[in-house]
Amino acid sequence: MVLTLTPNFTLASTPQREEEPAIMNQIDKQFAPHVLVVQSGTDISFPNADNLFHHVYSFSPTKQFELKLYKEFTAEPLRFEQAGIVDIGCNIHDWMLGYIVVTDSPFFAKTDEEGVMNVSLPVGEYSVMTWHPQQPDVKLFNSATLHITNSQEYKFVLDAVFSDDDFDEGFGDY
Amino acid sequence: MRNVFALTVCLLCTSLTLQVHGETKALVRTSFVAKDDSRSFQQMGAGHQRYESNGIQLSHAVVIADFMLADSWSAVGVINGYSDGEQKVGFSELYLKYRPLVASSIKPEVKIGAFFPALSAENTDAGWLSPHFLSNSAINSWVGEELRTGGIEVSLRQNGRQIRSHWSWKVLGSVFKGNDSTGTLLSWRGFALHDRQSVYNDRVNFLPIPGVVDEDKLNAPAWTEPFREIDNRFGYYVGAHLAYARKAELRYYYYDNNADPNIVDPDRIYAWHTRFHSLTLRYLPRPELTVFSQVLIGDTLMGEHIVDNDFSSAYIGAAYNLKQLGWEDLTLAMRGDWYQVVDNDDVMYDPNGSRGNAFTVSVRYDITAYLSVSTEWQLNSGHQENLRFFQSDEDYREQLFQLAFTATL
Repeated sequence: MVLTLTPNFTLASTPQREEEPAIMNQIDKQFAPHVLVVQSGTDISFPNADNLFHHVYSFSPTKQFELKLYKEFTAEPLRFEQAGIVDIGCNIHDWMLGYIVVTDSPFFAKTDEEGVMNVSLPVGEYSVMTWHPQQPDVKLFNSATLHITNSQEYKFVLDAVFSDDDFDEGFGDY
Repeated sequence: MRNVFALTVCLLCTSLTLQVHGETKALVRTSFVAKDDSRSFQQMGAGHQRYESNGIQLSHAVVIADFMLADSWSAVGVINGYSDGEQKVGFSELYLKYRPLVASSIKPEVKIGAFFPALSAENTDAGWLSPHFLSNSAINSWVGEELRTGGIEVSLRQNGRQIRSHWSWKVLGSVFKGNDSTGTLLSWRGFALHDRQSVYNDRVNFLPIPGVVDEDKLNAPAWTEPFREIDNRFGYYVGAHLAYARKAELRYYYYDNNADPNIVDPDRIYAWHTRFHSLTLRYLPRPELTVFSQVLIGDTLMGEHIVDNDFSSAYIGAAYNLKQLGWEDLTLAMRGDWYQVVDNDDVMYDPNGSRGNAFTVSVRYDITAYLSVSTEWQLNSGHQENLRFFQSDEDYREQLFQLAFTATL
């Protein structure tokens, strides 16, 4: 689950942007991480940790690209300027699927393996957006805005079961 | 077929002058073999096993090269080497693959050259080997020795994960040349269980049945060349794959080599009109358990009903990885095979009927990621009418024990 919070007020100081490129790796014929969240303007590098060829692409309007990643090869980082969701795939291994969530806000978070995410925010009102790869239209908050006054904790239960496909080499390459 | 090969080889050579990126894999499997005394069909004996003698054998030496050529094109070649058989080194597959990048979730692919039709659920390792067994099922032993696409295959596929669906599918069609002699071994030797793949220009021997080899009968040699073009007609197959997540997959193929059964070439090799349906299931109820099964039903015709046979076979197998017991490097596999050939013609001197079943147990231990040891025991017993010309009864019962070391690079 991805949460982005866009301040509806002028920030006193802009949080410093990450200098190093974010990383969308390919390990054992899977994208790692499955979902990557970055602020718009961030560079993302695409290393290939596998000992085989990957042909990574996106046809999403947010960012279209094509990278031929030979074994153990890292392409020049790509800059993701426009906010939105970028679906990425591999033309050789169709089941490889990853997502890059690009947000204009410096405030965002992604759940960890326990389903927990933390984000530190200045006090104020935020426009919130939630997104999940298998429920892209899910809305966790009743309102599109959230007013942050002090430390707050929210608990949500998604009414669906998400399991990674049991991976097996024996299936066809589709 | 020769033209397709020339094109493939030519493009492979051209690629060498371009900047190409390739992946090359190699595999060597040596086996200690203990078999029955029966002489192998490869030595024109009555036995249904590939090995010609006991002791250490080179089961497989395989080199697989996969080169990226220009945009969306790749070239794949598989070279096999064996210590048994007639053609001990050669290509089993050599083809070009066109897999363009398209925005649609329904994506095309074209293969041109020589390759296996993907109808097997057990031959999923590199080099068309099985990850679970040393020997193939009766069905895929036959596919390995008598079937190869020498032509073009066009497919469309959609991966469900890309459209947030559990269902993935692929449909395909192919036209090919060669494979005119396909059906010979099922008729004159019957089904067999082994892992010897025929390479191009290979020859597969079988028992010299008097009604086949005698000059005043069919006057044919006691061997076949599996992928030979005899009648200059195109064959075809169509297929469909349907997968649910990565848990279950069905594959259906209909194959027709469209051969003219009345044509015989200068070597006295006949064209056999062979057709079949194949239905394959692969199911993973749990990550450590794979169940697979295949059914084959078909017929073959040679001459004016000189040979007119129906054939059918089925198997069910399972492979279980013992990681839940703490031995994740150990996999047990079992398979039961059933097969039969029914002779429908009235040619008395060439009885083709056969039937049998086999049971195979295999254990594989992965010593490292690059080295494994497998042991397998197989019992294959049946009844074959043309054995009456060579022995007192028509029954056979063959056992095979193998201990194999497999190294991959």
